[in-house]
Amino acid sequence: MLRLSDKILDLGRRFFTIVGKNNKPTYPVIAVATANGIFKPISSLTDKKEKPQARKYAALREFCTEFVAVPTYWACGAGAAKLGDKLFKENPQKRTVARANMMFLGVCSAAFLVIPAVCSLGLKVLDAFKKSPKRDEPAKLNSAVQNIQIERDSVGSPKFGAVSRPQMNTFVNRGGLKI
Amino acid sequence: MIPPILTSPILYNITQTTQAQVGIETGLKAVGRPGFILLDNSIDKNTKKYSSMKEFLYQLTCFTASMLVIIPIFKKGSFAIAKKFYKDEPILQKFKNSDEFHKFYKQTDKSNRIQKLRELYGEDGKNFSDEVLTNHVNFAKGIIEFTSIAGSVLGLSIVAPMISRPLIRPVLKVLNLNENNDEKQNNTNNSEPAKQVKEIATV
Repeated sequence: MLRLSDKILDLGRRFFTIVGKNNKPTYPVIAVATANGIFKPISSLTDKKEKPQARKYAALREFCTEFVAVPTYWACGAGAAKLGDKLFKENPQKRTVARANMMFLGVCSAAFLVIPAVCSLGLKVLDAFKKSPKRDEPAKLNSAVQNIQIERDSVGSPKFGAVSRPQMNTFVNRGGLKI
Repeated sequence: MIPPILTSPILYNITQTTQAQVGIETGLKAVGRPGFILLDNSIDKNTKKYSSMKEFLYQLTCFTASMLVIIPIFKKGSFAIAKKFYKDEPILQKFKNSDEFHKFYKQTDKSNRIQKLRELYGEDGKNFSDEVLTNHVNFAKGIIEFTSIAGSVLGLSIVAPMISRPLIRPVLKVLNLNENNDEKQNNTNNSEPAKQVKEIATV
């Protein structure tokens, strides 16, 4: 009976052989994107030089980017590989090469075009959601200014006019100042 | 008309090497991501310049860290460790390090590779079938590729963000690109209501 360490080594041998036989271009990019989705937001959140709000925003943005990247890499790679399969259906020797090459080209196009395009589109949608409270901000400020103005008016001139002037008038009318 | 690049053996060799894959992909990211930021018309010029340059420098740091330092270290180290664990594996004992194996792999075609390996094994080579020898090659290559993946994960996801932060900020300052430019502009735009509030508060 095999020992546990031997079993692990045998499993490792099989695993390495599979990776060596067909090192798909999607393996490293998906591994890196997954790790980026975990560690980059953590790194952003621990950046003490940034403001807390900016940290949270950066972490969320990085997480979303990698969240989009993982399925995009897989879809672009697998889709392109299938296309390569179909193009070289009748030539099995070229089919293996075309499949790998197409998968790599698919991954490259995902990195260069698809993911940045999807992310910038996503950010625009996010901004559209964010803009509505931003537009309200000046309105709030104006209303605050108006409130203060109203308070000033109600405390200052109107009260003076309403309370003091009639008293003074009555005093003058009584002829108090003439004496 | 099918372009010949689809069946190119040079491209195929690149697709089977993790280091080349990661390098090309990072290079494309370094061009594509800043490019898309620059194309975005909804952002003001300063923010565009700042964000695109920051992204470019970050990808450049990632590329340098993983290509020049981490992957080579991982490759060599892993081959040495694998040699200790798999003492009965003849292919690991025949090559001193990963570079030597890589040379052998690159210099030989798929058809010649097994024959050359049998020659390298000497007397023992006769005991192994072609299929077993192919598995030996794949096993050694798998170790290198897997550790390259692990190295690029470590380099791009953990080390690069830590290195890039203290490196990028001074470079951006030298280039006179500042994140606060945008905030300053916002502050000046909002200065009228702010002044009103101040005036009223002093009354």
